Amino acid sequence: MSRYILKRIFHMIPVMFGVSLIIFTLMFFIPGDPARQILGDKATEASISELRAELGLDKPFVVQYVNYIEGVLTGDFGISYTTKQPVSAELFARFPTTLLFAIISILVACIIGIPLGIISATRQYSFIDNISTTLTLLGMSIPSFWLGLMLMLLFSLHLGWFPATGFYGPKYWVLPSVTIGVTSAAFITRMTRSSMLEVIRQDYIRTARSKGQTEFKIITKHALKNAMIPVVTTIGLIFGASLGGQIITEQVFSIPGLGKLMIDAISQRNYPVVEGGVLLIAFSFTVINLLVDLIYAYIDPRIKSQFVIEKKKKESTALKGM
Amino acid sequence: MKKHIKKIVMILLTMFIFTSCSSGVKASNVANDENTADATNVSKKATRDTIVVALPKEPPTLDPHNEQSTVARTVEKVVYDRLVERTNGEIKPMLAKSWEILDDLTIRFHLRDDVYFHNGEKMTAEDVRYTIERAESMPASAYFFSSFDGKGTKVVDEYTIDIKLHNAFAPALNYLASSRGNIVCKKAVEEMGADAYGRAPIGTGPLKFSKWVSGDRIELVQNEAYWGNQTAYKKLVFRTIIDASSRAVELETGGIDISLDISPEDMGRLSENPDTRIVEGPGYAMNYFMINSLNFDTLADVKVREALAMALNTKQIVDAVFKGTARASDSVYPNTVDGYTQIGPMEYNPEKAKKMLVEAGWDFDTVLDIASASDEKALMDICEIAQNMWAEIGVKSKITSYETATLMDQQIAGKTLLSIAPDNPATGDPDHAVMSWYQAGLGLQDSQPIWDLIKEGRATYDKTARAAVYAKLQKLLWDSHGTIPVADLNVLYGTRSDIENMDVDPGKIPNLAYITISQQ
Repeated sequence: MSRYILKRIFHMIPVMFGVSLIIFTLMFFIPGDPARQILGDKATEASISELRAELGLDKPFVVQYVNYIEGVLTGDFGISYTTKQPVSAELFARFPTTLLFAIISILVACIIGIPLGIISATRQYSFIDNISTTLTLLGMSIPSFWLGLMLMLLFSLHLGWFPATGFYGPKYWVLPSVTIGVTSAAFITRMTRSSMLEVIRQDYIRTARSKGQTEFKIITKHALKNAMIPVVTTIGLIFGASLGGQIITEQVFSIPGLGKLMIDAISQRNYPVVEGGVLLIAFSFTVINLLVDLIYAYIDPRIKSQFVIEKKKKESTALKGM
Repeated sequence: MKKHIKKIVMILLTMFIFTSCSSGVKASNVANDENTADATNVSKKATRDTIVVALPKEPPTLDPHNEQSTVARTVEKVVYDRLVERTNGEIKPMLAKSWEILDDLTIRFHLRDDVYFHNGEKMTAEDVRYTIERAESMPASAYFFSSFDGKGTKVVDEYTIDIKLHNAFAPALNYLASSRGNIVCKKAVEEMGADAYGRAPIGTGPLKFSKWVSGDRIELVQNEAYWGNQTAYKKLVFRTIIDASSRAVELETGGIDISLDISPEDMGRLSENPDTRIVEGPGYAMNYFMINSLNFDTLADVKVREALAMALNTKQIVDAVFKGTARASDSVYPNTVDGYTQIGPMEYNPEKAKKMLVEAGWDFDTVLDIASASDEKALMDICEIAQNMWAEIGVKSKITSYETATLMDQQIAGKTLLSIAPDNPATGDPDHAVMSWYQAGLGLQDSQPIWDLIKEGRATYDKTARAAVYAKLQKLLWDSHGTIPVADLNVLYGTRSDIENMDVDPGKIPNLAYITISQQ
């Protein structure tokens, strides 16, 4: 198992390299000159080219990329063009907020999504199922900025229950996490429902029923665990995506997370921050993927045994080769 | 299996607690903000000592010579002082008690002797000299200070300084009064280094820097040792709220006291609500179409440009886009800028315009490329309406929209034939307002009479004589139709109803030290 984890961690290296190359190339060819952005439209050509030289932007693409990678390998992600602060400091000032926001929203999503999905599956085509199908459809199609604004108008402006913007404490977390949670819950509900439907038709469920197991136990113990794999995948994907920052929701609720930082950085052509941010997002995504795969193994022993078989196979081929 | 689930839950919980802790600092702090908000909501009688202001963007740095951002200057305005101050178009003393123009190239300032920086250092003529020299050499402010001679500027004694100019430069006082003229602390800049200084600035202003939470807010506290009037409150918090609707909602709920940027859509609601009000005044900002007639032949004929201007009903455009918060331009710069004279508005006459085009031999198959800014709704709207109005006289056009960053690049590289330009000559000086005309690349008019008048305007220190020069210049520029002026914008702020004395600075950089809170 630990060997599998190590192998996966090694797989992350080429992925990260690929991501860095792609984002670096994109930022290199994107129109808009960072020096012009920093100095403004009235600055002279001389000071523009001076600044370009200072930022190393006058060097050829390959040299710039190699310099960047050298820096990254020594933990130096460069200096933000606008704030002149180290990029790593900027990113890590924002990351905890984004992480916290992602965790709360995914909790909200799971609390709503999983039970609703189970109920819909076990009472297929019932009134509750129809209601939940309608709700999930709405949840998936309502744009989050609109939902966010509506929640804000209702709960902050008219009822005054929650503050409108900011992310300073539990009271402030409610509206943004519900906004994101509702959309994500829709996906989780759909996934749970269809996966459960498939599982409860299996023979072993009938066996469990025929041996007189209570329906509650059948659902929670026998069916749910087997139905969880695709659900966990969905949750992992949603969680990974939210680690990149919920750009629009962060903007509506003025949450100082990664999304807000990245959007500003892109419009200001702040290359180091964009590149560092994308690398961080790619890194967290791969870590989440790894975690999801590990959770599979705990949920489903068959998957765990695959690791072991693979290991044995390899050992035997290695022996044969000798 | 159960054990493992427990483990996972434990890991998740730890992550949760970890992240909660890291934001714990913020939470405790915002208790203050909450109190303020509650205080506003619940009882107006309670004295408020914190004012919360929403900025539409986060300032990159608070080093006045190292940024290009209006929001940064709003914060800087209360952290720093300037030599002089411009109020209602008049120059008034600030750090300088008095000044005299010794000759065309020298202005002598007599400084106050009771001014201390926030770090306790006394402000002297050397700080002023250092500021001018630095402003002239730092790339982000160099163009602005290009007429100032930092090297030649001499300290006469501790509180007297002779600021030197490279050429006779009448706008000098307006420039020094703008937030570009913030006086920085030499010792602090040298000790901290420019980058650290920009994130923890030291000035002489009525409020001093206290804390910066990246992406979220900047906090200033009252400078009790301030040489001038104390602020009516103890603490000023600038929060970054990018979304315009969120700013409006936050203002209505009382979470913020002032919003520095109100979109026309929210105006109605905010002025109807008894808890909030709109503070409005004429501004320096203007929107116009820029025509590059030097690099392109398409619009080289002045008659064609005139016809294009005549085909636009600017009044209608302004009413539709700005809903009463702007006026149709009637000169090449707004009436808030020194030396303004009314020339227009341009006559709206599509029939005549069409006739002029025919006479000029315009090829009606030509498709004009209009460059617009996709991220600025008002600019996009102007371009779209103009496109329709031009279509009415048979001129075909298509809109290419760029992000503001790219549009700026394209304009300066001389690649846009016809483009929308937002301009904000924040000093209120006419030389600043006509800067686009003498900037290489933009391809506006280039003729000797224009150059002569620009130079004469700079060199004329006498106010009346200077106004006469600019009256001539405005007429000349207007008749050259190098630009099609569209709208002169008002500045708009939203405030809570108990905020009084809001400074309606035409440059959109209000001095927040002046505000008071009514105690009804």
